[in-house]
Amino acid sequence: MRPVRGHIVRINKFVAVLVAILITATALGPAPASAQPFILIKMDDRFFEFSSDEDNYDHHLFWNHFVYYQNFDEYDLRTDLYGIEQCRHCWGDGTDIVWFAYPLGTDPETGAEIAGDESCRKSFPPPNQVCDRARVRLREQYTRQISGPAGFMIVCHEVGHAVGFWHQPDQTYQSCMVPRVNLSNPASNVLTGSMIIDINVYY
Amino acid sequence: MRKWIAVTAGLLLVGCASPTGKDPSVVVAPYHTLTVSFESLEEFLAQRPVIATGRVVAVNDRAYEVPVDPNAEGNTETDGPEIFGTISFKIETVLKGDIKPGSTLTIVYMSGKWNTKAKEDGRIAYTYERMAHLQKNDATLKTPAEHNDATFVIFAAPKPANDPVKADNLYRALTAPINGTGQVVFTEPPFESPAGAAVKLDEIKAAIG
Repeated sequence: MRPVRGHIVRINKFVAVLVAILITATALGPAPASAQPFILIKMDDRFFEFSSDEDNYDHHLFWNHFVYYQNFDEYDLRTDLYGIEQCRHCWGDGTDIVWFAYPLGTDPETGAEIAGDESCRKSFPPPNQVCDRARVRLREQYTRQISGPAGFMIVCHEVGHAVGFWHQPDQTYQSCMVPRVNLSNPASNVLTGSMIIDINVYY
Repeated sequence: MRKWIAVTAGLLLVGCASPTGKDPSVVVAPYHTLTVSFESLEEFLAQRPVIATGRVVAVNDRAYEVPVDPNAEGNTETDGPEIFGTISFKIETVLKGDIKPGSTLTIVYMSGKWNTKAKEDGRIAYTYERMAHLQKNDATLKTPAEHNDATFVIFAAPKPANDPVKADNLYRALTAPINGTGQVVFTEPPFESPAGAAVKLDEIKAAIG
């Protein structure tokens, strides 16, 4: 019986080591590229630094859905995000979001006019998996130069990407995160209540 | 005992390897572009001078690197180059444009960006919703074999003159696979499509005229 018991002890040890290795490898590995609508790879906390070369009025106008501003509190349900402007036109490597109006042209892949885009331009390496600097570009023709639902929808959409939302196909057009913009019949220009709750739970 | 140590060491090496099996300093992030939707399929097709069907024959998700202008809006002095990938298709049928069946059409796209000029600082690899059928979760491209001979419709245009990649004979394109029932499946159709994201290939041919 002793050799059999010895084998069992060794196998148990091996299984324990194997489980420990798998747990360690899982914990060390980078987070998978998720297909969830809200991915958590962006800002580190609810205080984020932004920078732009636009003026303060534009900041308040465009960020109103996302951040708390004492003098621009037009909405009932607000996020807990606090935007801190670094200074005008002085973004650096630690800036969380750089945004600016830009003469975006046509999308080379589809030939469609680009209303805005958002991309990560600098990242913390794994295991953090955090975007260290997001860039938001807004087509000035559709945002600053023309106000109204379409312009606000585009801003809401791109900043929504910067805080972690992906496109949310929604035929009812209740949130600004729909995949495309229809200038004559734009989707909602605000976040839904559940999206704001998502932000407040995470950040 | 030695055998167990060897097996455990082997498993340790496998277990601690990056899931991508490649560069450990890659952060995968989505690149989002919001476009103004075309009113109809016809309007979209009119914007694409080359439309063809073909199969993937070669991929390279890091084919070109282009330095960024540190003085451009949003960039900093330390910003690293942008990275561009290519996907080559062997053309089978031509629905529109100056290209021949049997030729190779290569499309280019921005696949990522180095964090800084020092490559040890790692890079970002971009994923695109509209390229979900071409990319894996780690943002690398599926190999030709992984496409299992799937046929794609390629809606292409020669890359614009101001494209960051200066190589010749490259295209920019939206691609969509054709499924078993002859439907072209768009991940994210660039046109208003009340009927959904799938359009019959015959409808595309008819719309081209």
